[in-house]
Amino acid sequence: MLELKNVSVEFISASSVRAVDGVSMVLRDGSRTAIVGETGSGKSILMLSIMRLLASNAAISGEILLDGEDILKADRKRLQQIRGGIISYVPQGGGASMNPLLKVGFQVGEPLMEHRGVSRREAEKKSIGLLKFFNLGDEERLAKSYPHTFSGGMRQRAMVAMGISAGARIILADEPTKGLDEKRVALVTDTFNRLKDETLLVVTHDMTFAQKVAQDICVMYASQQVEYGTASQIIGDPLHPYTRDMISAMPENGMKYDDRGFAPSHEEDVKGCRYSQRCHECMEKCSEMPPVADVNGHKVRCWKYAV
Amino acid sequence: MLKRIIKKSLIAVLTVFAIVTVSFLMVRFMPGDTLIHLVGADRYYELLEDSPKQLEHIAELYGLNDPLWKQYLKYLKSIVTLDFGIAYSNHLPVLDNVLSCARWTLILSVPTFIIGGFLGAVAGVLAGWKPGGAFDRIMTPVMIFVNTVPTYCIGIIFLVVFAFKNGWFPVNGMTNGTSTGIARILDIMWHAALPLCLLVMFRTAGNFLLMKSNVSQVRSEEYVTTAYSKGLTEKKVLFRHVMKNAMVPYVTSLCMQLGSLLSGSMMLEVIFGWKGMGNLFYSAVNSRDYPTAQLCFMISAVCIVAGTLLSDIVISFIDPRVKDAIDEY
Ligand SMILES: Nc1ncnc2c1ncn2[C@@H]1O[C@H](COP(=O)(O)OP(=O)(O)OP(=O)(O)O)[C@@H](O)[C@H]1O
Ligand code: SF4
Ligand SMILES: [Mg+2]
Repeated sequence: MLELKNVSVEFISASSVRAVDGVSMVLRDGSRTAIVGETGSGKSILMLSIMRLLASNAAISGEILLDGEDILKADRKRLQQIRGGIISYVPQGGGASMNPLLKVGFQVGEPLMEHRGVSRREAEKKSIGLLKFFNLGDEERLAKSYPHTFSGGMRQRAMVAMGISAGARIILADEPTKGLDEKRVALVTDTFNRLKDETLLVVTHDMTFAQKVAQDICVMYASQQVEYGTASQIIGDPLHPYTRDMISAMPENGMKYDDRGFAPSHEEDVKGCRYSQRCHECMEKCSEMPPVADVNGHKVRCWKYAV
Repeated sequence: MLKRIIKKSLIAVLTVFAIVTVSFLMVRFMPGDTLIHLVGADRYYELLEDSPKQLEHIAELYGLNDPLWKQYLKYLKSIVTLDFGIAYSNHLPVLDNVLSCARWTLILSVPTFIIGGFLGAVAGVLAGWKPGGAFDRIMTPVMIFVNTVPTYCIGIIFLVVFAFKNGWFPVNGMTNGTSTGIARILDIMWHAALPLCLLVMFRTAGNFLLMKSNVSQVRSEEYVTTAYSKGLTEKKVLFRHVMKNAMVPYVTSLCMQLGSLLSGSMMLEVIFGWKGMGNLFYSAVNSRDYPTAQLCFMISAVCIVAGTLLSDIVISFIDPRVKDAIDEY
């Protein structure tokens, strides 16, 4: 089980930036959670803070408990065991996520060499099997190819293979569907649905994809978690005005999208609800920061539900 | 791949051909009697007064009375047979002069290439891997200083301090001209010490800055985060993922440096009276020794072309993206 308790991330520089602000989540073993939210809302930073892979000017506070052990207190050696061995990270599948000078087979098998003491040769062989598991096609040849010869969808699936190769129990995937067409999104969805026992946390912009792969959804807005509940609660009965706006902007809902600007930047010192500028249910109270309300286990940060 | 190499080699050969042609046309179309450029002004006027016959004979020898295309063919033939004419300075074949100078230049340039290539890479990796660390903060300003300050400034300072004032090293030249055997080798090393030190310093600084910027750029690439996320140790991330990528531009630069091994550092060779290629070119230009200058120019041009070709070939072996790239030609 992975439990996030009030996790905040601040980048310390001339003007410090709070990229993640008090996020709490529970990832039970075998559960699937999606984090949705727009660009810059802090999704990737949250994920990287679980891996402890943030730049050195980042200060993480709160607790990240892996079966009760606080990852934020782990030393370097323990972190190396956790990374790839227990929790693995599947980066955004852009061209830059894989080393351009190493063969895909080697990169997919590398966690095995690191965590299972497998020889390089053996690891490369096993990586073929992993690629087969995700139906890449012509896997023997692909394992010997370099990343630049892969399409975005292939690279994405190869990267999921890389994530699970050493048998990590918890998979964190950052925007696995970014830039893919519908057919590839379906392939990636299928890839995730092949994982049966792993605990999954995916970051996405795509509500439809989130609905297909996740049981729980966490909605982030301007560094904060604004709504957190099961997928059926979030999609079927969204509470937060931001979530509602996002769901009505889904393709199957006709992409109703009314543009009232963007989330406040870090420089803007918004006192109250961060969504207030765009919210059409904004009230007087909203000039103060809303508390997190619990509606039948469905958490929402909005004054409408505060008692 | 093979096709690519052949293509690149053909281009290199054509470039060399163009260089040779340009250097031919340059003499023929320089203002004044071509003969002046070929035998040197002093000798030309000397001969003009004493024995115009001999001048006529030389003109005949170079085929100056023939049509241009015939001269050109003759010129090409002389290049193929390595006949580059006679130097004005000592009336020896230019090729002999050049070969002797090339040896002296290599004595400086080969160690510079090896030591500077190694030190620059190691220090650059250390500084680029931990930017802002103690090593980086000390080395980078020093290296930037060495890299920007003009060669002759430091050269003259070294000369004044270590040679004139303290007398630890010779002021000028390559040998004392008397010793033989081991003593001669040691003597040459003693003479080479100062210029070599300077050359290594400059080369290390340039290489350091290049490597540092490569490493610190690669360090922040996404695939390095990916590598860490697999639980790799810092060492493995550095050697397996960062170094490999940072070496690509470095190797390109090393290949170009290989290409300039024969060129020599004109400034330092002149300051230290080192009779290498740089010095030869310098005095050839000064004394309008055209055949010598021409050959020096051709050699360095050809070496640059060869260095470029070499880096093209080496890079296509280490970077699969280059290997598969569609050729733009
Ligand atoms: N090293 C850093 N220093 C300062 N601020 C940073 C740093 N890295 C990220 N940030 C800030 O953190 C915020 C959150 O970034 P993050 O990458 O998590 O967004 P995201 O939700 O993943 O967006 P996207 O959907 O575009 O990937 C951004 O606004 C960014 O400005
Ligand atoms: S707190 Fe107020 S402004 Fe914010 S989302 Fe709720 S209703 Fe809108
Ligand atoms: Mg992101």
